[in-house]
Amino acid sequence: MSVLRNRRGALRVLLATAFAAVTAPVVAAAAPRPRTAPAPAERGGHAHRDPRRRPGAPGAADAYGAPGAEAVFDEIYRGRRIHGFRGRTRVAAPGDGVRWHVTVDDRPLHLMRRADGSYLSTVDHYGSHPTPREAARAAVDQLLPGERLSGLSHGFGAGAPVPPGAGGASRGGGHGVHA
Amino acid sequence: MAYTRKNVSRLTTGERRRFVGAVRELKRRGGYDQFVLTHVDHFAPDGESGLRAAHMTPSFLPWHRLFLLEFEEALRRIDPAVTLPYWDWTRNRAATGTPWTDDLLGGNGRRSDRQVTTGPFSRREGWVLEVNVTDADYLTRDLGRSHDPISLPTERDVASALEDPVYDTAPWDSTAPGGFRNKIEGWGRGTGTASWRNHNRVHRWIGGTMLGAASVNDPAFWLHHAFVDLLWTRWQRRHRTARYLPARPPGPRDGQYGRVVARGEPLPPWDLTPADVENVAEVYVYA
Ligand SMILES: [Cu+2]
Repeated sequence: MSVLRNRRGALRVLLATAFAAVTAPVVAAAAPRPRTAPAPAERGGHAHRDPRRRPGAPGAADAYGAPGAEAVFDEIYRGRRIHGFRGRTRVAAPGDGVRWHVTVDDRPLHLMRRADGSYLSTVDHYGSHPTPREAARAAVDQLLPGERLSGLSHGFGAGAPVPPGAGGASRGGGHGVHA
Repeated sequence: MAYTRKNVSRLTTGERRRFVGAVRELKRRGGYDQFVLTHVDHFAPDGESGLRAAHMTPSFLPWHRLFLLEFEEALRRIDPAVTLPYWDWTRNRAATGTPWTDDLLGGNGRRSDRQVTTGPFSRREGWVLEVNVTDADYLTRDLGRSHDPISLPTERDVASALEDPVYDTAPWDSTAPGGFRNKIEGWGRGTGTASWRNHNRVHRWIGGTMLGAASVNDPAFWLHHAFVDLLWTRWQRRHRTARYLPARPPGPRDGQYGRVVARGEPLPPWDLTPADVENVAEVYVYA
């Protein structure tokens, strides 16, 4: 009945080897956390950008290097600039398949969808919010003065298609892309 | 011989010291940060494409069981006497008591910036975060969420999950209306305070680092998840014939095709299946 009884020795070995193999490339791919504080001129500089800039204004997308995306919200919230684009390219995902690009003070905030259509971010992982804007605001609520996002993500940005019959046999589309 | 995982409130002074020492040594050697990254890397929510191994999925419990076993193994290579303690948050509910003491996890974050400045996991004591969602390189906590207080889940909250005789139900994600797994993982309907249950609610109650993708940075993660793992064993004892579900992978016409791990399928990043770890009594027991 207990598979572990027969496999106990094997379990130990598997744990040690599988883990080393899996984490090594992740560590290599992960961007090192910035260890120094940004220069005074850079710190919070973008929060002073003209808040009257209209969502979807010509050139807005280009300015953020996301061609084919349109700005959907752009606001100063608690001294932070929150900017969100809805990508035009649809991805293989439930719901409307729309990919959002959200930044807080020009640093990417990775948003993910829940099956009920709500959003969660890397900053707040154990709850979700009805809209990207609310998820971004909730992330800002967690930030302390001077604290900036690191850009850490799970690597869902590519929206990789699910390999047929992937259940369990594949690592799926969500791995190792700490771009 | 199976080893024992103890309630953290019943560890001796020596056991506390050795647990903390092994965790800090693993961090010093660089191994701890790999656990942080593995957890970050396996967080695939259910509204995205791809296989979900760790969260919003039936394998939430076996994935974390293997993750804990792996971590415990790493600690035991450093000190063979160490096992993972568990924190029963239905009983040890004070923000100043166990496990938030200077000889265990250290206390709450300070008011100004939520930085943990006491105990063995303060930055001053060398606990520097290498992988984080922000550029902060220290642990933060906001026990009880000071600006808008929430309570820890209660014994009743846990009991209502334990009562469910079914392990998990379609659609096998964070919207599953019934089943022990989603009730204990804690994705309630809607948003806001009432929707955060059991496991999720504890992450929120601790706050700070524990709320984000890099939650593993806070050693509270292990004590919390050891208790969640214990609750799985309690559920199994109560529903003796109940097994992990789904028993078979959803078919090609099912929306969950290729997205969840069935009982006999390997659970990434390991080669083991949920069935392999349903019964771990030969490896460890809870006291
Ligand atoms: Cu957790």
